[in-house]
Amino acid sequence: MKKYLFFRIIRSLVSIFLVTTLTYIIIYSLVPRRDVFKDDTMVQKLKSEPDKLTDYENNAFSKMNYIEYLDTKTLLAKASKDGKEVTAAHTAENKKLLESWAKKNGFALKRYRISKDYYVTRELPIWERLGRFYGNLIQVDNPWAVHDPKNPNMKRYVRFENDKLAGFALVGSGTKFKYQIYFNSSFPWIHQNIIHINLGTSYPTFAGLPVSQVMGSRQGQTVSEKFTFPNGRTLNTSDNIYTRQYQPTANQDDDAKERYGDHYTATDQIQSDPSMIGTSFKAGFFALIITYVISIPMAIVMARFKGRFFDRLGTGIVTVLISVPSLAFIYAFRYAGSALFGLPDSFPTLGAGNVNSWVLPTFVLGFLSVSGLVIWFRRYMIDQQSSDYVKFAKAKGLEEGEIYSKHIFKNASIPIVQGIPGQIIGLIGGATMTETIFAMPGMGKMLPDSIIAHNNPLVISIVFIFTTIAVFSVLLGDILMTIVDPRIKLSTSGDD
Amino acid sequence: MADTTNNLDHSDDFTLVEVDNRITEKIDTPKYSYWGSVAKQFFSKKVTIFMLILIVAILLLSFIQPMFSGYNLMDVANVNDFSARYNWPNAEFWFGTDADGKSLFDAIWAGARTSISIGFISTVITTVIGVTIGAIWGNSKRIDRFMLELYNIVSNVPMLLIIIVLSYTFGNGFWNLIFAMTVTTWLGTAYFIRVQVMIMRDREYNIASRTLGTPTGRMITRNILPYLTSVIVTQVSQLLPSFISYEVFLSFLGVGLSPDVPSLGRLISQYSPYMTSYPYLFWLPVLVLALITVSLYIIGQNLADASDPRTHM
Repeated sequence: MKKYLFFRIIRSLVSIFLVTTLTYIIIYSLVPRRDVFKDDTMVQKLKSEPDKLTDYENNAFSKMNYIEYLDTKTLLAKASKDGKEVTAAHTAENKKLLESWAKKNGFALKRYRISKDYYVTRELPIWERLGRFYGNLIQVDNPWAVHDPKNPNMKRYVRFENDKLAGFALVGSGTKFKYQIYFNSSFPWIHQNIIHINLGTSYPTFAGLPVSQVMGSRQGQTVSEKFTFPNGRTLNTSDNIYTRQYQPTANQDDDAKERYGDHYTATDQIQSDPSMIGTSFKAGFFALIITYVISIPMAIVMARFKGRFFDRLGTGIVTVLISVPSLAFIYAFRYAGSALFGLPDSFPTLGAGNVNSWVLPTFVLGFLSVSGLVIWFRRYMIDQQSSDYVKFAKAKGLEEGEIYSKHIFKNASIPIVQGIPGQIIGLIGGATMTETIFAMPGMGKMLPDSIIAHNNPLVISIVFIFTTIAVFSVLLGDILMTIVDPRIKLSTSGDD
Repeated sequence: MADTTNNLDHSDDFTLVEVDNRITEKIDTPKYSYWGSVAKQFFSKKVTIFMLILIVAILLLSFIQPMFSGYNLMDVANVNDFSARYNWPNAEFWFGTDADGKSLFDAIWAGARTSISIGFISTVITTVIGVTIGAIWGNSKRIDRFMLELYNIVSNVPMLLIIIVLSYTFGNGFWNLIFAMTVTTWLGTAYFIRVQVMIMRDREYNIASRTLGTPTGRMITRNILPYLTSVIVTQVSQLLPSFISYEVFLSFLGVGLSPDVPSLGRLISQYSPYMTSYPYLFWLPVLVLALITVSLYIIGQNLADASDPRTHM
């Protein structure tokens, strides 16, 4: 079993890796790279200044790992390192030196249109881009992470102490984040800043922000709270002190330094609404509960009174639910919900702070998977009805209700437990539609949004996250099944 | 006793009877025709006939009406004619008109034609590839090992995610969209057929057949696939509405089709802001869409039931 599980996890990881890699390759090789500028207002603004536009475009491409780009200043500095001083003057000698440098390092030498200054670009081959993506994927914080030339005598340690701001915490110095492990009142109470996932830089929407921050940081308006700082001052602030990061001496402002008393002054803001991942997760979790709470009793009653009125009614409803496109269903349900119960038909109307905004999307999300679950659960229950052990129980004089709750239900729920991951995969698909229609700021809405904006790094990250969730939920479903029914051995089963 | 029988004269008791071919035919069991029984079973339900009439009407409208209406999504000839705008459904414009003064009736059928065509073509491609490969897959151990890994990788990813990403990368267009929708979906059908083939493969009659030297190809086409007719029809009846759904959702997002191609999804997304002000603009395309998928699904399910020989008794 342990060996099986080990290989299963390896295979899951390989699966995630392959899907992400494939997505990466097809997106970066098939989507025309000029598309990223389609809706970029900066490009329109810079039309009159071709040099700046060239610089802007090349910078964007290099941020997205399409090319490596050195502007005139960096180029001259690099080329001068080889020995002979290269100047910005457009002389034949300088040109020759630059050309030989570019040739040696695999760059192509180009000139700006107006100023005729030199710059170089290098196409990054797809495997190098992939290497960078995976190489930077997981970043581990350590006491040697920060190197600030203006702060040479910084102590480097990681130790457990009672911090004035954060309480008991694993505090680092020389690390990127001050609080490596900390505790507070928000779920799941223990948090870490040691391992961070780096999924690249978002562009052109959320330009310049790390993708992981776009998806993982809280959204909405900033919330300020009264707070007492180590220097004794009490201020209204929206700084999230748990995210204190090292700020190089050059960028530091004195006020912040005085307030915190050290170099760790860069903080995120406390914001009112859950992150994109959090929004999707919250809605998805409750939707899953709704799905099961509705469909299991419904299927039980339908199976028990098979062929009678309720069964036929239920089958009719389920048939319609399956065949009506989700889009039509979501719109119809949304309309009914807002017309009958006065619930907001769009998430931002009342915002994430109000429970009412969550009701309709969550219920829609739950209802979308009800039909599939009811059909299968009813089928399983009916299959069990004619099995020998049920006939035996009947012959021994057990009551119908007892047979259903104690015998049939337990046996029929085995495949249902294994079906939970399928429900989660379905939820992801459903969330894409539901979140888009309700304008709910979650990952599901982000996918079409980033596709329309040609935000390739975000598309890949969403695929990566969804695939990871899906693959591991399948694994979890299998493990759960062996717990529910100990007769099932994963290591010997397998469908071949 | 023996004496009395010997004394009787038998010549008058018996007459010579000719063999009557017609009567032997009648004694035989009634001739069974598979497709005849399927048709009989299929048309025995009133719901099916009703849905069949409905879908035939929709198909005729959506494939013939656009030829006469000459509907063009990009046409804005009436945009300045205020009397043509936002007409509620009436005798002249059966489904009303929109902001550009275009008839919604024309728009719906032109859109339905695209959506239905995409659904049908994708279903045919998926089913043909899926069944062919599934049948081979179920019979070969070597292919099985490779295909199973491939299936494990692909099936873990939500289908909608794959389709969205692919249609994004291949760009907009009718055939690009079909390619994006079919390029991985056939794996699901193939896996399903593989399991069915494996169940059938080891039945006694097939073992007997193999022992008698039937080649694998003939085993698949003659012994196994006929048994799977109802299973395949069930698959088709589920695929068709789901492809139409995908198309609608992608066009709704503006990802799948080029901007000049009308489709139900595009109409729904284009008219969704009018849901309260001019509800007919939004709800009529949704209604037509629902009618198409519901009728196709129910017809498919009933056809699948009818094509199962066990219901022919």
